[in-house]
Amino acid sequence: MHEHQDKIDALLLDNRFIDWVLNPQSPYAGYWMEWIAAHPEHAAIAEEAKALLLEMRREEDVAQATVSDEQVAQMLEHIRTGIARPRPLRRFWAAAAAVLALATITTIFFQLTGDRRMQPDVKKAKQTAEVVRYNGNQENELLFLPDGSKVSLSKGARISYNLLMDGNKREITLSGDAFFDVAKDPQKPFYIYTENVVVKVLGTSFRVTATEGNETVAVKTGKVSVYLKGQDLEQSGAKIVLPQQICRHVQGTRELITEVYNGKHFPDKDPEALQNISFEDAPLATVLKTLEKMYAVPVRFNPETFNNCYITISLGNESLEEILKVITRTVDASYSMSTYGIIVEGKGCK
Amino acid sequence: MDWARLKEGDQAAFERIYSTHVKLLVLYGLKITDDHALVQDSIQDLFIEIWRNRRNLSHTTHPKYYLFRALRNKLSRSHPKQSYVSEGELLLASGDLQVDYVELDIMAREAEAQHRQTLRQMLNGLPRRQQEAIYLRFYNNIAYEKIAEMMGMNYQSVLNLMQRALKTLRKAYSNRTSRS
Repeated sequence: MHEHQDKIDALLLDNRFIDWVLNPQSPYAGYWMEWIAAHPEHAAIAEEAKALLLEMRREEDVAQATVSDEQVAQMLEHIRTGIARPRPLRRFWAAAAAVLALATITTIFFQLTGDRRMQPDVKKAKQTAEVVRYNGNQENELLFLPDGSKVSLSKGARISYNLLMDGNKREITLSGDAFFDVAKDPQKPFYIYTENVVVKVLGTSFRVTATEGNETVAVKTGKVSVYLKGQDLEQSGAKIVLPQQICRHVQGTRELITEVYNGKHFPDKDPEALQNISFEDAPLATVLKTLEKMYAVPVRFNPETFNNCYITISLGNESLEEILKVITRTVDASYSMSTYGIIVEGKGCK
Repeated sequence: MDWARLKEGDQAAFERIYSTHVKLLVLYGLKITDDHALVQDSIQDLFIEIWRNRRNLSHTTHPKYYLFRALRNKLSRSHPKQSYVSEGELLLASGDLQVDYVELDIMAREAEAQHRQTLRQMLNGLPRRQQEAIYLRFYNNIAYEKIAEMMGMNYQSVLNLMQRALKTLRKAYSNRTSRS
């Protein structure tokens, strides 16, 4: 028991481990993937250490969100005044600033103590927390992304993206090997970043492999464009990769080469055909809990309020937002999204 | 890049550096002292001084380290009663006894609250220097060696400090996960 804890500690006291969890382009990725593969116990320990680490980061994200933009702007004003003013007046300025600062402190204080669940109109935060999802199991793992895309992560693969995938692009960082089935949304192109390569898609299915020294993109349906990180796209266009083709990054020359490909890489079953989770007259709480797990987004609601709500729904083919719309319309509730996840509120059912 | 521009008197670059780091700095300052006003004032003063002395700034590729260190110095100077540099060494000299008491106390309170403590509360309940080290390592991805330098401790002491913090936190964490 203690030994197990000590091993988790050892990882959290290792710079290389933390870098690997936090930095998608960590040079230690290969080392840790091998380490994890070496022993089933390693995978479990790494998983636990990582979970604790990410949980602590989430707490800090919450704390950071309590520093308000107004406060930041106000401080900047003080700085501007400070650098515009000649030195002798500084004492006066400092006193004035102290008074102003006091006013802002009160605001922070309220934000810190206020229970977030009590604020119904949490607006979408500009920057949402980053999610890291990692497959430590032997089998491929199917993940659902908030935009309705699906990813089958191979053993040891890791993706990271912002919690709600909001913003005008959908962006994912990948290390390892994964099969993507990207939901169509021409307004919001989907980007995958590996160490050297950028893959841009609008909606299609394909496999990306980004292990050490091996970065390839193989297309199953549709088409994707592939280019190098930092490539000037006005000088030289991106490579368009079509079905039956594979695009490979050559490390020495930093070139992208497209070849014919016989498609053995693809999963037997489309992720699309895989486990759609259907509920029939299920308690709302069950559905929301499942949603939380599938999309790796915290969902908050008051279980007592929705005690009597039952719902029939199939999860997995739409985006998180579309699903939430259907659910909230059915039980006459509303939802809001923020850095902390999703909050569902309403009057409940009779 | 912005740092080099700042040295040449580019105020837009200066303000970009401010915007990128200010929230991290506020959080960092609050690990060191609870005095919100002091943290804000110190950050404002720090940036004003940076602007005034921009020509003499040394080159850095990691403004964050520079800013963290400078803020820390400022805060410890304005709180002469508590010397932040020696506090940790003091605790170490006393054989960690005080820290263990603090932890025992936290754990006891935690048990009383019937596992209602959240990780957040546990984090806030940690001794300041443990909070500081956690913030630097887990949130800012700064290597332990560098943290030791910033906090004026030796490397092994930082690891010991972290180990104690982890011991406390993991308890909160396992309670939390086993509940769900």
